[in-house]
Amino acid sequence: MNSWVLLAARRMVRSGRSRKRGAAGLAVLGIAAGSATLVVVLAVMNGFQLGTIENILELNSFHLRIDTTVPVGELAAFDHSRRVDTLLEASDLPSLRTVVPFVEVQTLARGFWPEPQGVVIRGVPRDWLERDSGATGQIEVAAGTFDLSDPGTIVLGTELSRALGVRVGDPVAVTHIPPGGSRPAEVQLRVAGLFRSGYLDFDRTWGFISLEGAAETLNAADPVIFGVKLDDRFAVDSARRKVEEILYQKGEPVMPGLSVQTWREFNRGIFGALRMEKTMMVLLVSLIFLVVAGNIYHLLRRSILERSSEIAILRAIGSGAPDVRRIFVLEGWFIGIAGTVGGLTTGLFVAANLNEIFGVLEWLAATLGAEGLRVFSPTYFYLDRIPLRIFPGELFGIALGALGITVLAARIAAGRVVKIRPMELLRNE
Amino acid sequence: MRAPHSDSGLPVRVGGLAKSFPNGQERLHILRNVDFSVEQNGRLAIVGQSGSGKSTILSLVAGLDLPDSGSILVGDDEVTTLAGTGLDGYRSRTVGLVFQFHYLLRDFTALENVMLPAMVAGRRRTEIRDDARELLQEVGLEGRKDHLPAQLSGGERQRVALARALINRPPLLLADEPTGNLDDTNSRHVEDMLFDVVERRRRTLILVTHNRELARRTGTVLRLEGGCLIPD
Repeated sequence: MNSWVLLAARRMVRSGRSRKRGAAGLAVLGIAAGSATLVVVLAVMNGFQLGTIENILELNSFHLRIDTTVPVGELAAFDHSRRVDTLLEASDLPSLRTVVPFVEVQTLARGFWPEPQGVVIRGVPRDWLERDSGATGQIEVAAGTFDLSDPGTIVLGTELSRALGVRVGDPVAVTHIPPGGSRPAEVQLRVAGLFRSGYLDFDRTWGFISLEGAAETLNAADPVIFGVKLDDRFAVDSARRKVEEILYQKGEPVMPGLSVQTWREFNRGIFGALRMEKTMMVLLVSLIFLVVAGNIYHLLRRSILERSSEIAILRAIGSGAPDVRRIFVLEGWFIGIAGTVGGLTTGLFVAANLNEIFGVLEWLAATLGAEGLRVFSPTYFYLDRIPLRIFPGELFGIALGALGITVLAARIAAGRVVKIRPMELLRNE
Repeated sequence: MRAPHSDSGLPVRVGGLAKSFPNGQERLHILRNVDFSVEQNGRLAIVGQSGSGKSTILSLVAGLDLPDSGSILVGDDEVTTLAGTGLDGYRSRTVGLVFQFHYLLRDFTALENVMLPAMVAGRRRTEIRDDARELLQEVGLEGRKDHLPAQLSGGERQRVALARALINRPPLLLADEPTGNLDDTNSRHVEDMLFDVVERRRRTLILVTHNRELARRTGTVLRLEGGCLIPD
């Protein structure tokens, strides 16, 4: 770019008339407000959504979920060399973190209170938490221990224990209907510990026992599922192909009823809804950029009209129309860069300190007499603090969007430059 | 990038020039058959009533507009066939323009205004700065080089505009009522300066004015009447 173009653009921005400077300042503020809002909204949405997603992936769906029709009671006696976990652990599957067999048993449980509660009892290996670091990160032992060595013990979610009215050491009566429709059987389990995952559904409806407990104590006949965790969950499609190669020998599955699902397939409904929610929010907040783009367009159009004689003289002394157009596009760049940098900085600051800012607001409210006002209440959100996650890629996207729309508006407005004819200067007769 | 012209002026040959403008449903024929020539380093004044088309002739010679027909030969360049960067280059390096109104860029200092055409032409910055200072000195404004146009008087602004027209050492200087907006004292000052510069730097000058006294200083005066040029 010619140095004079940069010089001219700088001068025009710096020494614009006060009315124009006010409009340019508003445009910068608009871009900054849009960028900052997007950063904060995305940081909060990411925080909430990723908390949910990680809970679901680490505790429920795993990265790959391999269903079988082998009843949990028959797993111990199943040919060890044809078991999914044995084969995968012995394979050269890249990035395999762990394979966990588990079973889900639908039950009704009753504790101190007479009302029964629906409970999903998960039978997992006794050493599950040692084998699955991802699950360990999501499970907080709130009381007692996560010790499943006794097949007659159960670890309950904190919210479920409250609903049942039980504490560590208390008995829980569990009723389940075995597959096949035989008569419901009730067994007594002892509460060994309470867990908290931060995901209300799990804490409210889940209990863990050992696989042996599921098979022997509950006498469940539900099918065994194998959950696979990978180091890179986004490499799940290639891993799935490899897993299927390993688990189908001569075209036959190694275990009856074997089927493999990725976490994307298993959670399609909820993850699709989360993505849609995020997309809609981004689109709605981005509308502010359209308004600002309109302002920038009118600002530059006015600037071009006010400076038509200067544009004409630039053309008359030999500058090409593209160079003159660039002066005004650069003005758009200056506005865009100032707004975007200001917006991203403000947005990052607010996002990084959102909980503290809410704390200050609550303190102010309390000082003004509104005692007990909570901007973010754990009672409603089942969280102590607002979770926040910021991704550099999204920041880059916001910057690109804000700058792109600004420069586009400037380019369209600057198109008017070519309509200004230098000969108009000489029409003074 | 071509070096700016520097040694002397260029001859101008204009023949059969016609130009009309739309006027409602009809066309207004401003120039019908204009012929004139100016020798290398020569001077020519065109006089005529307001609206007669004097400035239109300058705009055509400057390459700011296209004629309906006719030929404009400046040195070896046929101006009517130039387009795009060729035309930009012609305006930048061959022609120096002085208008009735100074048309300085209000956000640029006097020095920067003078430097601008040379920056547009892509010349080296240090060389441009030296040339611009020299020109401002020549028009008596070296001490006001850092002033914005708003801080200069009308006569000073017009002198800055004259320096700007000369920065690329154009062989052809076109002046359109260069003192039309100035009082008598300033007019005289700028006129003297214009002729002095043209004389010393050996430029070809085409001057458009309704001031016959100023026109006579060129030595050759043509009058535009009915779209044609006739000797005054």
